[in-house]
Amino acid sequence: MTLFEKIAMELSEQISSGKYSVGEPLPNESDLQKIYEVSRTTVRKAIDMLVEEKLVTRKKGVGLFVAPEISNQNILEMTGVMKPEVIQFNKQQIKEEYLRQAGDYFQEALGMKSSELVYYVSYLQSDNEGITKEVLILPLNKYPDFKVSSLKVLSIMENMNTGTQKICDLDQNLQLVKADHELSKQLEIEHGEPVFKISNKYLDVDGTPVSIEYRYKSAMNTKYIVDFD
Amino acid sequence: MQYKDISSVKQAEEKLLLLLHDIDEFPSERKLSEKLGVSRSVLRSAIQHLEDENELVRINGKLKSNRMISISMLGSGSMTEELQMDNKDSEVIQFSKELVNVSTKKTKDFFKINDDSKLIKLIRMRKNKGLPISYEIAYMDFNRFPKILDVDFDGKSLYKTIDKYYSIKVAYGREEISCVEADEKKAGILEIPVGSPLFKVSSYNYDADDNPVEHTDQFLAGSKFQYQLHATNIFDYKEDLD
Repeated sequence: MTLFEKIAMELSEQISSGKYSVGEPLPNESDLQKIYEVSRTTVRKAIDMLVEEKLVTRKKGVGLFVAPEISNQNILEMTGVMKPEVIQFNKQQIKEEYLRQAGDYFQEALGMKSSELVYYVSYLQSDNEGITKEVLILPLNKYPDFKVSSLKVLSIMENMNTGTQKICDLDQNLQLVKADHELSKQLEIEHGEPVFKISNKYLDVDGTPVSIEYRYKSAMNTKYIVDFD
Repeated sequence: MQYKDISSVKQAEEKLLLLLHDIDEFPSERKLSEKLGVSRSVLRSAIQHLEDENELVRINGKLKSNRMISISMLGSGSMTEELQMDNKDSEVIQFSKELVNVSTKKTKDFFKINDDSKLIKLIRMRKNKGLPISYEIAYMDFNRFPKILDVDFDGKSLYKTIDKYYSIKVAYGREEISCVEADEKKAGILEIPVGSPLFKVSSYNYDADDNPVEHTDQFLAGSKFQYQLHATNIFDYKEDLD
């Protein structure tokens, strides 16, 4: 038996014995790496086996992962025995929701006509990682059935995929910006304090932009993790 | 959902964002408000917001596009490559190199060493075209890489040096990106005001045999950098297994 098969077996025994129960997250990959003193590749192979056996679910998600807490978009940290319905969409507070013209800027960014309409939705979400401000720009013609209420049920990525064009790729950008008056109030920090701004542009299979998301979080108490090969 | 007209400030902002691509230095406020067809107070609010968002920057009273340096998030881990600094405009300056004791548990765990082991602590900065780019503190296990202690790192790449002396390459790693405010020392080195937000990038890098190679804490001016990632097939995302 190879090392990763051994680890997979041990984990599956722990799951069936109830050490890790359904709906509860497993230790993340780096913890598992430490527990078993093996490489990340080995951990991943073991988890892959369990995923294949449908014992654990990988939460979909890419890019930046908030650490060290479990977050709803973290594939590497979310190697969890987690059913989708267990995800906590804690306090969500819609700030703005309206249709507006794309205007010249989103005409260029989303490849549409300036006079065409986009949904503009902003909301605050608080969870154990603090407050996140989300802003979504969704072209009306690509999201004819969009409903704000679905933000409470689906993850952002899944929401972005509810339109007529399926999402395939993502362009992500992380910047450090300053909180203006409005943002500082919403994130409950001081005016001018640093904020991580993540811009996500979702693309279809041809690389055509479909929708845009901006995400703001207080920078002084947020840490992102990137694994690279 | 209700239809709403875009507020005049937001409109001005979005017009300025479009101009950013083509213009390095913006004309006077008066000319700009005529060009965009907005009042000067609206223009000022829009500019203020774009300055907060690091899109615009004021240098000697002149409003300019803030040209940021992009770093690829899933890059090689080598800053020399990431910043495409293999050119004549860039330089790496060594400040100090010394043997230190292991200071944190995290470092100890990463290097898999005990309290008595010594680490090489290498402090460097990078410049591009004479301007400071980053301040970096790298740690390596002295037991594993003793020759590194005698290398002068002025103008040298850490990874190339490790490869040259030990034939070891960094294969994969982990980066933690957080934010700290510049203390007096870092502010001085990076030539920015004390208290400016900095990206703190802590990287933990391994070789192909899963042995720890080096750990670096790197500090980059928040106003000058952005991280970028292009991810494909995000709905069946899975790490490549090698």
